[in-house]
Amino acid sequence: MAVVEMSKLNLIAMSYDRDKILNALQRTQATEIKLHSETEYTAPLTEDTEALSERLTRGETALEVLLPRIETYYKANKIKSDNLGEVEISYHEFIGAGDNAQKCEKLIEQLNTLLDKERELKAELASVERLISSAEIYSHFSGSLRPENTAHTALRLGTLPSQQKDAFCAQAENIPLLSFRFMASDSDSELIMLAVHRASESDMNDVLQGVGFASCPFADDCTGEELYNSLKEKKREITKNIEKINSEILSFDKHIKDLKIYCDFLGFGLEKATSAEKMRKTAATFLLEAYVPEEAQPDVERAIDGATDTVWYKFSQPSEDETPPTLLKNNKVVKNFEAVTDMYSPVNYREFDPNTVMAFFYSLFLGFIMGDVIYGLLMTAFGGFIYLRQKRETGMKKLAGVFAIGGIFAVFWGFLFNSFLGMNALPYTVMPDAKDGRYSLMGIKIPSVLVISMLIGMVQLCAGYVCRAVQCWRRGDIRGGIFDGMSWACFMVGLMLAAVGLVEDFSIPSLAIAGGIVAGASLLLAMLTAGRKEKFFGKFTKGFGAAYGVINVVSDILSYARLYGLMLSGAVIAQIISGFVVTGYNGSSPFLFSGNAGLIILGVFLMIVGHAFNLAIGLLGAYIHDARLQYVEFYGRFYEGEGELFRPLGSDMKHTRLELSETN
Amino acid sequence: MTTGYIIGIIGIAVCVLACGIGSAFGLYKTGSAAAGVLGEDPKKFGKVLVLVLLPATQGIYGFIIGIIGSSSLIETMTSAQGWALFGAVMPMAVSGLITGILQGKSSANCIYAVGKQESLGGKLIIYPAMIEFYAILGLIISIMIV
Repeated sequence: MAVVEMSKLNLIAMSYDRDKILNALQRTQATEIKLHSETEYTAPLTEDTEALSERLTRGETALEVLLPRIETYYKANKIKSDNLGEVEISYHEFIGAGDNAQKCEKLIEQLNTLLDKERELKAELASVERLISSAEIYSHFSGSLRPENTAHTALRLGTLPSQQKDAFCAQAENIPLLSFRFMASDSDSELIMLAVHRASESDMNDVLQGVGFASCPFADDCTGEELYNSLKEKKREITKNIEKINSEILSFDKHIKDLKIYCDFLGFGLEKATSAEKMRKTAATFLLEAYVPEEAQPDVERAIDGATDTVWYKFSQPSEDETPPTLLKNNKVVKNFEAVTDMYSPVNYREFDPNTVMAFFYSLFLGFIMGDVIYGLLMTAFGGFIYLRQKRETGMKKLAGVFAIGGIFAVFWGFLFNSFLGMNALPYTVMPDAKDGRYSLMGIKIPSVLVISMLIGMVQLCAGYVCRAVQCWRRGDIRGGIFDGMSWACFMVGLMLAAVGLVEDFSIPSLAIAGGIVAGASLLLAMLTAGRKEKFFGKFTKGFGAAYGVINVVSDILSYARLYGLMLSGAVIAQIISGFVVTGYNGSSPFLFSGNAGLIILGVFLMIVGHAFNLAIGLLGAYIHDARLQYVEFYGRFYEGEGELFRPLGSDMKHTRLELSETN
Repeated sequence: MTTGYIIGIIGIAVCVLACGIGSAFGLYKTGSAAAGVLGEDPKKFGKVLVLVLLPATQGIYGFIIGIIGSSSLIETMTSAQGWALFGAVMPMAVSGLITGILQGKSSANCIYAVGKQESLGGKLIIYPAMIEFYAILGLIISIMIV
């Protein structure tokens, strides 16, 4: 568990070698370019990134549309292909993508043209469909859609709402020289043809307006039937064209690998151009500063030497006022938990990496909350399966790893709670009953598991103070480690001993006295030394501030009550589900042993769905509240964070993964 | 089943309900705020996650008091005993309801701040977490006297 030591690379080379050197550095995946500190005798280096950015956007947009479409097509036709996932390529293949630029740009242009055409056709199709919907009622009308008026007669064709039909008929009776006929109807409209003498036309218009009459929207010189059929034909043609374009788009599947490599190549090109802002230049040279992990120094040296002979470079230690990026070195297990810390705030380069300690407590609490053997086995199985399937280090893979490890602890706690899908399977239970078990604490009956969860919390708080001490000692502050770290850790130990001693059920009353003495002495030491760096009045205020801090400690301890609450809610739901199906709930006969086939099937269904739901909800709550305990209660003791993660040049690949070896 | 028993049950139900309502309202405020912030920048999901879920605690505490209180119920309780139980769970009920709502409003504002300044994420957790302290006081008293 360590923050990797960084070296600072200072390099000066010829401007024409810049691209070669950056490519070589990218290959090492061990160089993060930083803002150059030299400003005298040099000028900022700038590069126009707009054109490159536009090309990249066009390529990525095309891929974004293409990939899901091809994936759907492959799934529907049961075609297997490696090109849809991450593409593994050699370094030379990646750099060689530049030679394919013209071909790929042409492909992207063709693809975008097809997509634009498809969008237009789809818009047209939507418009035609709307017209068909409007024209459907007219399809039954074999007369002209543009009836011609005469000198004395006005003809109108249109629709009115079906519910207004009777109202119209009643009002039309009062209009002289009006003749009308209902030609067709659909679910909510009536098609009506009206003929009226000019003298009554205005009255007729008033009535029509009152009943929501809509004139025929079509000005075509044809019958309703002809119009409808022509629209249908047009729809068929557009649909055919869309399908044709879709086939052409799908034919791009043979170019997916090239397009993916090209897009990532463009992305790397943009990254190189953007990082130019961090470099400086003179008339013929460029200057670069970068952070390199110390262990990767030999690789970087080899890469630079292999790229060009005309270069000067030097490795040095970052100065005290610099904050290099953070690269953590942890084993495969702890690596998954780095994401939990990164969600809060990445580890600062100059502080101690808490991930190993946090990983243990996080898994312990996750297991405590889930507290069931079968749930734990399922977590480990599914989490492990997803973890092993994912090749790339994604958030999903790390989360799966966290759940897989948490599952192991859930199995452990499950055995202690004697819980197998909410049922007891062992003859003896180590832990007290979660719902009914009580400890007597100074005469007050408190749930036993609640006391245990708060004791576990005290252990973590103690660990937090120890971490603070370690942090101080790493920075050479020996007194700070003792007075600000270890004294509070001893206070927590004293508090724990006192709490255990005060629980009458444990029958160790002497522990209460011993714990009280340890806690009191530690608190006194913390108060007396809190203001050691302050002047006279500051010493008092700091000292009293330390005493006031005890209230925060008590509040933090009580915050661990959530472990009990979450564990209990999951356990009760599991008991109820299994009770209905297997063991019997509140005296009722369990479904599985009812002798009724329907109830048996229902019971099996309930067990699967109910426990799956309980597991999912429990995991969500556990994940979030466990993280909150780490961030607020544990990290609140010592953690500074605000670090920047190490992002080496060329590491941000979306679609490809470089197979790096000496030979490729 | 005596009147006291019914009063006791009502008290426990009110406690669980009030804490649940407090948390639900708080989570509604924070969830809505987070949706707006993530609509602008989805990468802040991790930063706002803990702030969003801070008001969830009161519901859990209410549930705990509900479990503890239910074991104090006796079918032959007198009215006085019923009212005593009712009163015993009220500290958690009232503090859970009010702190849940207020913590939600506070967390929502912190989420907006994180939307503007991502680096504040870790620091801002402290402010709404302080409100929770008073829910914890209610929890302690209810546990002690139930």
